[in-house]
Amino acid sequence: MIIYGHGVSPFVQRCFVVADMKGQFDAMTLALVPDGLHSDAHKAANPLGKIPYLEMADGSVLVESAAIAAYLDMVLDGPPLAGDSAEDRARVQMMAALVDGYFGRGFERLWPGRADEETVQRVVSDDMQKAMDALEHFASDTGFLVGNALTLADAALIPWLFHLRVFGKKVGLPDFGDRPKLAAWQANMSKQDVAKGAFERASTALRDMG
Amino acid sequence: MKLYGSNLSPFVERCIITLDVKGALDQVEHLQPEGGMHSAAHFAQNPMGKIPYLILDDGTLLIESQAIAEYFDAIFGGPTLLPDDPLERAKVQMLCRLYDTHIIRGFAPPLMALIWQRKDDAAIANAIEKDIPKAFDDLEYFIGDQGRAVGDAWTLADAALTPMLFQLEAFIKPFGIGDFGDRPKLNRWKDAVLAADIGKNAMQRMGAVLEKMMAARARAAEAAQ
Repeated sequence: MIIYGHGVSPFVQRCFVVADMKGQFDAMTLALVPDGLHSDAHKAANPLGKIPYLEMADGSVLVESAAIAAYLDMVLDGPPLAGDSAEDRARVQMMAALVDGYFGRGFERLWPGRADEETVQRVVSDDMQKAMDALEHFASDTGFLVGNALTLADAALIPWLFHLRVFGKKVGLPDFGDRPKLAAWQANMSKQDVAKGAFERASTALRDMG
Repeated sequence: MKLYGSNLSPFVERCIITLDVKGALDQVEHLQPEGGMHSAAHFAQNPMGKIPYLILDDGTLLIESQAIAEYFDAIFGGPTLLPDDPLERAKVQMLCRLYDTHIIRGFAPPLMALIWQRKDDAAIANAIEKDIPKAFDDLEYFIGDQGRAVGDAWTLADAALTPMLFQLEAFIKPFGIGDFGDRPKLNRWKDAVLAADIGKNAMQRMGAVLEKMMAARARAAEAAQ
């Protein structure tokens, strides 16, 4: 299956982390968007002009990394990542939505060139703190975000570890701060191959950008 | 279990519509946060201070409307709103996300103006001229053509998108966009949803809350004179 996008994007990496968690990393290919981001070819394939998008066999596309991740979890063989009980499934979704809607939405403004200095400082001291407080509040205390195994929730947050280390550090946001459950999560992820793999891939992709 | 939040919120309505389709409205108590939005009681129950939030019988807190709606779909009987087929299911989730990321973002400036009384003319102009037409184009591209958002039966995508119809009429039309223009799939979807009881119920619930809100505002304005 072909995911279009760039390896630095945490939304792209989420898809590969899911495949990796399923033991199906080799089933996926990353392809650069034809003619580059926002090109006519990009918009012809995906009118939203965003990444990632997954090209299906019949030529249609799936967009929205959360939907793609859930889809991969269903169609790829391997351990289920969505949660076991109805309640756990809701928790997994909830955590992933908090990562996307609060953590990710805030952090995007910390990327180089996205916002002026004043906005960056406000995002760091306000928005990101709220986002991390929310994650800390709802996270499990097991070293995983939900339950005691890797789920789609972990897949959503794992790619951001690279961004915290590289871009967050530059603006005074190197990690999750004094939040014990998230600190335990980060420590646990440093031992997980799927997290190491995501970090290395993003690192390589950033280097290749020059 | 208890669901908190006003029907005027499209995210609360997503959950209510889900219950309606499943015939499970009587299985969940629908309440407002004590003391209103952003009260101390609201934050005590939900530290995020947002709506909707669901408190299960054992005290567990669930937030994020999509997670709550899917939870309702899983635990209550009645028609399922998430297809079993992985691709159809992904399409449903994709359309729900498009509401969250594209539609509501375009709608925000007019909504802020009329509901929260924070009017930003430049932001409204940008929404009307660019963001909302683009969001509608994107939706037109991905939405189904059988009178439902995906396939031919109610799904969570319909639950997520139906509130948009009320918002369009009540909040966006005053600023210049009252319909989907020349977008045949969206028009077909709208007609089919509004002809159905599920759609009518949603419009009625949201309308009733808006009416109360406007009446309260009018009384407050009178009292201030």
